Amino acid sequence: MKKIKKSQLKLGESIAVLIIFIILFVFGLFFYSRARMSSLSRQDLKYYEQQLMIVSQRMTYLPEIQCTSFNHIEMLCIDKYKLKSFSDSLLEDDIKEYYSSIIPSTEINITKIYPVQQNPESYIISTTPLQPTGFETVFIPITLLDPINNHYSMAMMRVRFSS
Amino acid sequence: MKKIKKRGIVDFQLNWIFAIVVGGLIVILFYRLIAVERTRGDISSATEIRDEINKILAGSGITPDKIVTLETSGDLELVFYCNLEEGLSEYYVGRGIKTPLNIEPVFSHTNIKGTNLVIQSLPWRMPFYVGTFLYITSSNIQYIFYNGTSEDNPGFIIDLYNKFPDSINKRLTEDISSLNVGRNDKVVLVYLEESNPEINLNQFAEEIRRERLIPIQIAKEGGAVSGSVYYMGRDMVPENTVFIDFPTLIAAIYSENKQVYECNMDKAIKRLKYSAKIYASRSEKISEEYGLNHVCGSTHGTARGHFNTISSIDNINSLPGLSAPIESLEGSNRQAQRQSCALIY
Repeated sequence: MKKIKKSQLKLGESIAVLIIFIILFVFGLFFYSRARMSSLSRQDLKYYEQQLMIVSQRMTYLPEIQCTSFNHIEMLCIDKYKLKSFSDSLLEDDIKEYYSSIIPSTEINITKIYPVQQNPESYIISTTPLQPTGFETVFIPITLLDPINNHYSMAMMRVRFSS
Repeated sequence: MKKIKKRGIVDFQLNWIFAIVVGGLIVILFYRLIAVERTRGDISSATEIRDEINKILAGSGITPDKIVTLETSGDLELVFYCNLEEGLSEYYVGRGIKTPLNIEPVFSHTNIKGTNLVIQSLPWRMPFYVGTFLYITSSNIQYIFYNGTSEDNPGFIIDLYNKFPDSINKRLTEDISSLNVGRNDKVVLVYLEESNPEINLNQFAEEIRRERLIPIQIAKEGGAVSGSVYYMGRDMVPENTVFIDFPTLIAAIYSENKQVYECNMDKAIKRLKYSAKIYASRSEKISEEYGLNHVCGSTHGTARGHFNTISSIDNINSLPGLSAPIESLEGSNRQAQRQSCALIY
């Protein structure tokens, strides 16, 4: 059997310490990156929720559909005829492209809930087709104005936003 | 004897290599940590400013007439970029946190620095509410309103001065002989065309060349708040653009130059064009519902024509041509109210 020299032993010892140090360092990096990733995904979720709220707010206060009287804005009120016209206008590509920057990846459904009707009036506004899954939904109660009869109805606005 | 010496050298070198490698790694680790923390600190304050601006942008539909003052560290820079040809508009806060501004008209100087950021928003009505203009400035930019001896437009400069919030760095003067950029990053000098003979811009040629002084001359058309704005460029050659009301004139004053103003106005005009189309379609539907022979159907039919004229706007140069349909729409809306019809806007 070959005799291990003292210097070889010392060399082996140093290499072992170096390897242990590298292993610890790699472990440290791994846990640090995991912690960062989890913090980033929390930030992602926060950003996503913020975007949903921003889109809902934009839609609720969109001047193109809001009820106005000589530029006096009625809060949380949508003009039925403006809504119909807005929905029709989105059939034009340039208008659809423009509004998809304001309300991106969003599908809005406004349904009359009171007075109760057998087939309630419903309007759908969609800037981008949504995937069947992976979206968040917000419900906002609003009033729907028929400006010809000056008649207000209760309606529910459902905003579906996909990331 | 020789052998022992060699072994010693190997041991000695290995320990040093080990110390250098480990020491180096530790130094790099701490250096990286410091760099990360420093960046995170900057990003954090930049993110706060960005979030505040985004909140104001998102909420501008709810409260279109608003003034907000934000305190910053002073060395944080905001860069607003808008290029019409590239079709690109965005802003950066601090070290490159980019936020696109594809829709929102934001009028400001390209680089903004200062301990106080002032954000003003105003509704834009043509005559129906189109959207909100956002104006951003800082305490390092001074606005001097020269109230000369104009007899054609008495009080106009004072009216304009009063439309700017008190929280901005502004001054109303009747004497600009002592005008000095001083510690401000920039000074914007606003005056009427009639005051031109009283202002000798040649005395400020150096400051204008260095883009520290930006003279803006307003040429009003008659009694209405509309006309042209002339930006005096660094080569002392004026560039002109148009305004149609106070929000557009204020926008021109807050903008660094013609290019920034027109790029943001292009966004506003696009919104105006599409909004007018939607209103035209609404009036058409309402008119059909009433019946064309009905008095309300006729009023809405007329309004539809005016909306169509407004929706045909292509660029900022067509803006002055909209004064007539705007006035007609205001008349039609009053008429609709008198006739107890659905209002036009």
